[in-house]
Amino acid sequence: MSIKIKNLHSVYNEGTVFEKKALENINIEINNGEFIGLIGHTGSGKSTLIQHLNSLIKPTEGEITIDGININENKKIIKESRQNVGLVFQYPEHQLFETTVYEDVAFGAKKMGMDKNEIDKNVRESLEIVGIGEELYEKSPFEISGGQKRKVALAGVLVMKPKILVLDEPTAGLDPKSRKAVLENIKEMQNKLKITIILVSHSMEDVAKYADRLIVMEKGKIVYFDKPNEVFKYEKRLEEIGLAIPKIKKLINRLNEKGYKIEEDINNIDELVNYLERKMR
Amino acid sequence: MKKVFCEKVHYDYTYFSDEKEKTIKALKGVDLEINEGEFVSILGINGSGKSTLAKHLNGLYKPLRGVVYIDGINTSQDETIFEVRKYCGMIFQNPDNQIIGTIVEDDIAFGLENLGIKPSEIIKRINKSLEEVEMLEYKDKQPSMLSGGQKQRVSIAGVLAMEPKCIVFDEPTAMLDPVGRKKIMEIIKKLKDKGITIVLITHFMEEAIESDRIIVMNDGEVEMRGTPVEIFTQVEKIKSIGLEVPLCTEIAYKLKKRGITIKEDILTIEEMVGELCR
Repeated sequence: MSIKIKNLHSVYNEGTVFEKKALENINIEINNGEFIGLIGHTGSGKSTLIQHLNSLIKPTEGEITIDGININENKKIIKESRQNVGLVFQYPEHQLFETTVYEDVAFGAKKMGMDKNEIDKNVRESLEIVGIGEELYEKSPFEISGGQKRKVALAGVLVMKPKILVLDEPTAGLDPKSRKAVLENIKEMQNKLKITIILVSHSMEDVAKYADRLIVMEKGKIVYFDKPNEVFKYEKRLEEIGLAIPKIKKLINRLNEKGYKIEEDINNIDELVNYLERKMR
Repeated sequence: MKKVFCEKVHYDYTYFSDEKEKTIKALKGVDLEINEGEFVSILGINGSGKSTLAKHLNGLYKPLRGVVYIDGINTSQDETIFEVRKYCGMIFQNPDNQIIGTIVEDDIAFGLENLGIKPSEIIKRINKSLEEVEMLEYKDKQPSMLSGGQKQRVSIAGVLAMEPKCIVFDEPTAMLDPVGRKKIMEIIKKLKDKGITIVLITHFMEEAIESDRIIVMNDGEVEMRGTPVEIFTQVEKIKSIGLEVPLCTEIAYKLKKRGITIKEDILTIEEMVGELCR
């Protein structure tokens, strides 16, 4: 599904002494099936923005349309569009509560009124996507490891078949291998199910690798909205606003300053190694 | 001097499932020695036992078998447990779970008041510890108004105010943006320079580079021990455990494998640039 945000303003505690502008004049268009990375310093407005996408917060001013429909039009539409947008918050594992992994994942599907066969099919599919095997289905969600809990919580959102999936730091606290596994799964879902992904992350490496385009936020405004390679050309500016560029870009920049002529668009280690090998032979 | 000493530490988690008692062996005979003033990183995948081990270092957990001595005190003895906790402070991943005060200085005062320290001394310590983490100007702010990195610095100040000799950081930067992460690492290094023993649990290999020594945990046991260079140059082994090596170490390793002459013990971007621009 495509998302269009037009002239969005958001003010907290309007009319009180605590009034705070959280978002100012946001204009974005996200295409169907796109993988968007959303980055910014804590407090830059990322969380406020994503909470608008399923009407947890309503715009003070401006409009959000998903597939051409204003999601805040009326109560019925709010409810319907919420079913399209799956939100995975930070530490989703804190929301696990059922007696077994299987039941926990099934909960959302039941609430949506799916029939028994459909629930079973979706639960199995979702758990497979996140890499949880059948041997864990009957375990209590409280007796599995932290990384596994995270994956189960993610499956609990996938089971509802969202068309847009918004993930807030889904890999924080995961080891490198699980981190990669979760992100690869998300990427695969994007390709397979053609869903739109918005990934909020503090890892520049991750967004560089997986996102088609990046939204960079600072103090409630959008600073950049472009392909990762374009955004990461602004090393200084990104550091000023509390971000960074991926390590590999940093290495390339330092080497180029010393007279190397490495292409700026190189993103992965093997391409860089190939280049250096040619140069050093 | 070995101020942190673990010998053959075993720890199990037991739980009930289907009305049967089940056991997970979280630590299987861990030996660990840390010298006073040393900076040691603990690496390992999720579920390898890192956090369980960390919680033994200030007596939150007591070994099922084996023994843990902190500054010469056996952590299994209830009478002296407060001595252990005074010696060794802990910082966890999520600052929101550690901050309880409604304003920053109250939060730091909380631990001190519980120790029965007199008010004039409390004020002194609050100022000193907030200055240490560069948060003094936020003294009368509400913690909820702070960024994640700032909250984590307040948590650190709260621990510093208790004047511990050792601080265990359990993934302190997992939730932070790049600048917040950098700041926490700067503070950790500063504390090390002041002689505080640091134990850092992390999934960021770039942070572990900064330490004197690295311990790699795997399935409840210590799999590797050594300096950052000794650990990270074992690229295949690190990867087989499910971890990563720093970017530049991997580049050097790959070039070497293709027959290029290059130093292997490269950890940082600066070292790599130095090597390539000789």
